[in-house]
Amino acid sequence: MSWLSQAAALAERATVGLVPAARRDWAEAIWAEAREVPPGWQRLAWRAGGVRLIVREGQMVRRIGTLLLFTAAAGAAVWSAWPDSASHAAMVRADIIGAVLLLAALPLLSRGCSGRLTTGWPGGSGPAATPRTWP
Amino acid sequence: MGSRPQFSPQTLSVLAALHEQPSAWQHGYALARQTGLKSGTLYPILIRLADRGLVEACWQEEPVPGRPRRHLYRLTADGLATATAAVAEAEPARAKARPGVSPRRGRGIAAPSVP
Repeated sequence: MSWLSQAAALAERATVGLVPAARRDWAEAIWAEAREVPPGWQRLAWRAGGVRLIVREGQMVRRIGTLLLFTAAAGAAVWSAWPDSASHAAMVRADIIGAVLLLAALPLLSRGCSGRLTTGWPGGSGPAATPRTWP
Repeated sequence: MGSRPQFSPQTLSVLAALHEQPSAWQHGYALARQTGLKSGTLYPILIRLADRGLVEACWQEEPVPGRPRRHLYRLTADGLATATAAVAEAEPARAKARPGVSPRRGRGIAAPSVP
């Protein structure tokens, strides 16, 4: 097996973990089937389909969008509130950082208290929470 | 209740491909070749069909040495009934749209005409 194939196999195994547990069989299936496809463009196209499946089933667009949105909002909040040279600047900075960390941890805390609401995060499972988009 | 879901042409082509050998387990690549669908389209369709209980999937028990196990698919009893009805319903439209073309070679079955 060439180094390229080994790298592809490693990447495939890693991406399977991005999919909710209930969908991992399907992600593994598409990667396993890739080895049956003639090498070259056909196999590449098959693997591109696998990436598409993982992005879709792992709700990656939504997760990346949420992350970017949070990062932008947190950045804007920090930028607007960051003290230039106040007498108690260190305390204000600590407050800001604490508030951002608290906001970041809030989804995890609420999930711990009230149970899982969505399955969009790694390790989540259950087709019931997956958007029902009938093809 | 009682109303059958309207399938997309791509889903119909998958149902038709599975319907041709209802008792046989089929591989994803074989289905892709039969239907002309890309993997990124075929697998989401198979997933939805499996979620609806129309398709069952299993892993190959005795894989070829040196190769990973393959995932296999076939219609369930419900799936067979649904596919039979859906294919029969789509047949006139397909025959009208592409006379002389086998459904296996086409890129799918034409959707039933909607009034």
